[in-house]
Amino acid sequence: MSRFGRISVFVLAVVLLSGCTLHLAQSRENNVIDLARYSAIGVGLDKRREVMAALGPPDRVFYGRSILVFDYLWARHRSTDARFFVPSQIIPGFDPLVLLSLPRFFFDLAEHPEEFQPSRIEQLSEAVAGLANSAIPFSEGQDLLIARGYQLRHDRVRIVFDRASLVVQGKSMRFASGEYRIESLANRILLRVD
Amino acid sequence: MDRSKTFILALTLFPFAIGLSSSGCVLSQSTTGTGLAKEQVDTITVGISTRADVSSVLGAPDEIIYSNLGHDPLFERAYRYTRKRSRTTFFTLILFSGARSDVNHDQVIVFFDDVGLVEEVSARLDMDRPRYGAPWGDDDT
Repeated sequence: MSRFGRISVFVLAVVLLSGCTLHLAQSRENNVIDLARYSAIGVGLDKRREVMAALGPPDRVFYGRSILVFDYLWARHRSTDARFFVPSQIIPGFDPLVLLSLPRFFFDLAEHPEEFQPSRIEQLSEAVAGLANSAIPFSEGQDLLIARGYQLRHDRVRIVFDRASLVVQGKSMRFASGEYRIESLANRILLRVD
Repeated sequence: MDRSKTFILALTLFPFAIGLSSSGCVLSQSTTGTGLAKEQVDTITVGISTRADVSSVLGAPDEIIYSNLGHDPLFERAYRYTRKRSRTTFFTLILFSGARSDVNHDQVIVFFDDVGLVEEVSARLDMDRPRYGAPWGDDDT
């Protein structure tokens, strides 16, 4: 085996034995709500028939004493979980922010246009370079660094009808939450960004 | 190559072989609920079909929506039929793994008037839309 081959095998073995893992997950439910069609619904003008023609059958229906409510729902969840076993003595001055770029690499940051967005390759390079130089002495021996991130988004359109099935209210709501977190087994949460 | 070198090489390659052999990809699909076809839905006629007609065509509803009115709280205002399909992609490549789940519903909702005749019907039949795919990326449009 050539010198290069031996080094490659060694590096691969070290990576495998180090227990570094990366897991990505994404789930979606229902079609994206067509907000353009929702915007075309006229309060005081359209009836239940027009609403269902525009948006389809609702995902939830309930009757109040004098109203009828339609809810249209859409949900998406994304998460990353990266784990690294890190020798505890290497270079001091490691900035956990560097690891933050790893979960962010896989997320769409378009919802936060005010944030500086380097290219994905830049983000990944930054994360890998940071990892290579990483680790302040978190504990004796080895420590486990866990970089986690998630984004959760629920969209909901609610249409309220009166007794005559006429639209009396329309509301579009978006619930979004997310968190990026760097944890160390020894020091627990090192960094948390909501 | 002497025996000790062979042993060290085998020992080094072992975790790589284990990791590689446990790599793979799984696609799964599940479907639950009432089977819904456009032809069936088209037989329901507004102003003519009754609750019994709807039940005979589409079966027992997955959900009955009551009027919730004081004088008759159990008046059946609507029947809802739902079929859920989910498609999941899972893969693992040595120490990198990913999962993606995509869920969609076929839905038919039938509203009844005060005398129990069909007032409105609405259907969304797009069960084939859930897709297999990578856990990254943004293809929500």
